[in-house]
Amino acid sequence: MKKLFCATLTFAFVLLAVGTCLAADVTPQTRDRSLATARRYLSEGKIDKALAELDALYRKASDDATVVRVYADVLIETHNYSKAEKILSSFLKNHPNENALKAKLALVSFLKGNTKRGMEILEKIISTAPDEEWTYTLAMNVLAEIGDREGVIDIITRARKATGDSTLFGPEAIRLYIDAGRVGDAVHEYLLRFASENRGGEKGVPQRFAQKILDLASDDEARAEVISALVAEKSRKEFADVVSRVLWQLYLLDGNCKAALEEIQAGAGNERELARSLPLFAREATRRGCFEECAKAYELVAKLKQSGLNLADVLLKKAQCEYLGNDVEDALKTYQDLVDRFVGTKWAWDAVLARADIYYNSDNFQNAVKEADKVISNTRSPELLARAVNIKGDCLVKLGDLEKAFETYDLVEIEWQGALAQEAFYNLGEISLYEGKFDEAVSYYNVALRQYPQEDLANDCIERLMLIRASKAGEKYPQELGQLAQAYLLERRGRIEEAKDRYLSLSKIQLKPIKVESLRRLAEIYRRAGNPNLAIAIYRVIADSLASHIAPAALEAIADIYVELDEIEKAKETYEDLILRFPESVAAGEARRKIDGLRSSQSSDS
Amino acid sequence: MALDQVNHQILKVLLVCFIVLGLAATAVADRILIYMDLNQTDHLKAYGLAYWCLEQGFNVEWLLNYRGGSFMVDARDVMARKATLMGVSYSVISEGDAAKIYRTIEEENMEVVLLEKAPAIAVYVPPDREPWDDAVRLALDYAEIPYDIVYDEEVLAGKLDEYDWLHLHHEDFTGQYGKFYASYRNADWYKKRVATSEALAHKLGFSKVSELKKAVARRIKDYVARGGFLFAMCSATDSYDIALAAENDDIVDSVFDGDPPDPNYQEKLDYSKTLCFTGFKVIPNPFVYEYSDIDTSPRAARRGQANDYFTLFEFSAKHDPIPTMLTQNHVSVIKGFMGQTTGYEKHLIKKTVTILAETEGQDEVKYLHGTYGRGTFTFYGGHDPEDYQHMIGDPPTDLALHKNSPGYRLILNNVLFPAARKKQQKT
Repeated sequence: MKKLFCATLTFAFVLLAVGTCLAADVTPQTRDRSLATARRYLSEGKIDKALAELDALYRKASDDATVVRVYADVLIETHNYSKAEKILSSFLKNHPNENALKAKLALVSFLKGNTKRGMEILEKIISTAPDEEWTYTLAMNVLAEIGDREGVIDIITRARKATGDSTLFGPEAIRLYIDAGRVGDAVHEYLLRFASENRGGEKGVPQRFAQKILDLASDDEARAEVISALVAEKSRKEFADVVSRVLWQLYLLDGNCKAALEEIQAGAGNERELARSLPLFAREATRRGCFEECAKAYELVAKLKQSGLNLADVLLKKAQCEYLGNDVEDALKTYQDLVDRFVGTKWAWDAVLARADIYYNSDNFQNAVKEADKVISNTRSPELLARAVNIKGDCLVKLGDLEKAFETYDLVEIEWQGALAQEAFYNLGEISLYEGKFDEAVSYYNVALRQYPQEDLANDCIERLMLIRASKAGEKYPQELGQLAQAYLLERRGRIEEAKDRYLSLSKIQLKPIKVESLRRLAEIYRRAGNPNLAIAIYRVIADSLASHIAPAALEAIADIYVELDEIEKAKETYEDLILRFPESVAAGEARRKIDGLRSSQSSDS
Repeated sequence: MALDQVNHQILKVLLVCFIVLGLAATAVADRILIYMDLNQTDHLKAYGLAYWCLEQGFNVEWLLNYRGGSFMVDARDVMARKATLMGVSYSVISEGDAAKIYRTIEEENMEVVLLEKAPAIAVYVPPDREPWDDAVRLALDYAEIPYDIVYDEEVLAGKLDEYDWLHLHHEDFTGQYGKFYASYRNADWYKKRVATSEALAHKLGFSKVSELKKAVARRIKDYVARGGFLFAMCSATDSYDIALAAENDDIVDSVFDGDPPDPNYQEKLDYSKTLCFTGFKVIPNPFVYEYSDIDTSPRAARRGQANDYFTLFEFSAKHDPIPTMLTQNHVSVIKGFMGQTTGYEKHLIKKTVTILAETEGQDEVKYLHGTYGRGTFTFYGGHDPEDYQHMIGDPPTDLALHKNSPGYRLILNNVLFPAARKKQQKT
């Protein structure tokens, strides 16, 4: 027995000697080389080779913290927790102050299911320096590693208490709260950080935090939480700058424009703040259809002493919102206010024309004419004159006074540029057409087409010219052309039923150009009146039975109606039919473009 | 009935049969020639048509250098219908006409390449919406060529093996978030991009975005080595090679990854790992909107749009069909366009790489091609061939307004090129 004891002792000494000898062999260079080899194996996914390399290194350098750390990491990674625990415990016996490795040991304990021991180790780490941040960091990292979110939050709370720093681990806390779905707590964290960072008065800080909080309100549910969290913090003065900035935007996102506007008014600290927020609000409110609040917002801006905004622009926008909100009287008043305040300026004339438009759209043609006359008598600007001429002319057509309407449109001058000038010449052609002066009409359409080939009515001019020329028999124009022109006039004057009757009777005649045109108008009337099926049926007659030159346009119209009805496959089929039947037509090009559009909207939907 | 009459009847029947059979034979033997010269109404959709034919299982002959790199297919009603729907012009020719075309091809610097299989296409796109367009996606969408979207997770999961062709566009494989730090660090899209990139890196087990990107770059390189076709544009080209060279290096400033670049970052670059570039110097300064000295954007800016053109090289179609395929066009001089990476300094390109197009007299390469392992790569400098200087937030280019774009044709040459791989014996 004694012999055996001696032999064992000798063997142990020999081992120790060899171990010491080996340990002495590991220079920092060989250690680094070996670690690098292990890392390379790991990056190549050769885990076994990495473990063998590290194991060999550990045998030579079990007292080296780096070696132990790397080896333990790999063992943990490969779920070899017992071995990891063994090497860590062994190392910590000789180096009890190596807290980083102690934390790793805690991690291993947690991973092995020994939560109690893990927590004890963490508490020991914290107790080494309970008022220092780093001990809590070590503990947090371990708990984060095992996914104990609540545990990390507890540690953060303790750390803040111990260090007296209420914003300590702010970013970590925010991330944890967001991950845990505790949006309200995340808002609170942001506000704390804001209050801390805002002390220096650095520019842009409130905006930055406002944006971060807005980002939290990613969906309806989160938005409701953010709103209630902000409302709860509203009374704290140090948060006010951010709370008011965010709250109104969230109310707006919620569609509660009224509350948003009230929040802006209540929360804005000064005029500058109001001048910044109100126009932003008004723009967004318009987009959301809150026209009443939009108008109110511009009214408030108009009252600000130093808004930095042009008052005329503000009033114009206010009036636009009022009008969009169906508050016609207020809109008229605001435009008049603008006219009175900015007499003789372009803003004033724009306001006069806006009033004329409102009267026109309200069928108050007499007043519209009066407003347009103010511009015609007092300005020389071709742009303003063209607008006024068209409004007044259109009113007179509606009133049935074609002679005066012609005189009005005739104020247009060939030097005037743009779509409105073209419109006036086109209207001269239209009135000539209504009055049966077909050659005169041709001259005016030609001017409108040749002088302004890029403008919107160029195609309409071509259609009118083709119709008149195609209807002409020898040197004479058929009486049906005059009847068609009368139907146009009735339609334009809003006497749709009478126009429809005329078109209907003209659609039965033999004269093809007039028959086709009458059918086309009928189809359009039915389409506008919400009878798409009848419109489609008539367009089908034009496209299929009459082999008309407007067949491609008729097919395009059918497909467009299908798009409006959300019958996309039928729309596609019709566009394809159009392309295959009339591949060289302008409408075929349009159809290809529209098919591409349908395809991309379908793919973005999916 | 007299015998003569009977014979006459039989002869008549036989004649009718001959005519019918003859007509049928002609109908089957007709070809559709999709010419790609200046008469073509929609060059870009023509590529889509060729792709569609391959999808339907019809072989397509690509007539390199013949009328701008035309396509020829056996005539079928469905094909003519599809061409008309797409607005692609074509002519139906007889077998005799086709034989004449083959003779011309035999005699001239032309070649016939058989396209047999519609390549499976993947486009590398980040999950969040980018504030700029991707010329290749625009071209594929317009030409109606289907593709899948992949990103880092799919690449690392080995999904690339399912595809013949991979496209990279305005990407940054160095992990410096496109080097937009100086101009856009406070922009919402930039901040979101940083956050999502970091989250993805952590999710995939990488401590830094730059490390994730390097791993992705390596996987793409493996994909090429195994026979994949890589097509990259704009900043995806140089940043990709830089990431490969920096495999064991840190070239990323602390504003991006929290630690400074390696003090010896330049010396530690390993050019043997790159596909295309060598000897370049990286620029880690976050306030400089350049990854390295590879890019020639400053030169292009000095030239100005009015003077910015690049010229396609002409190759021997019979001996070098691959570069010939990649340079098929109806013009040889193409208007230039800028990008984060506009072109490449010639002296920094490896000697093994084939230069396909350059800005004449500038030592500036616009378009290049090379092989690695069993696959190939093609790099094309610039962002959008029809938007000289595409700025962040600009609306995407409407290709319906650029149906004959020579710059976009070069992109689509690349899409069809993998379909021809079985005929590549000559290279």
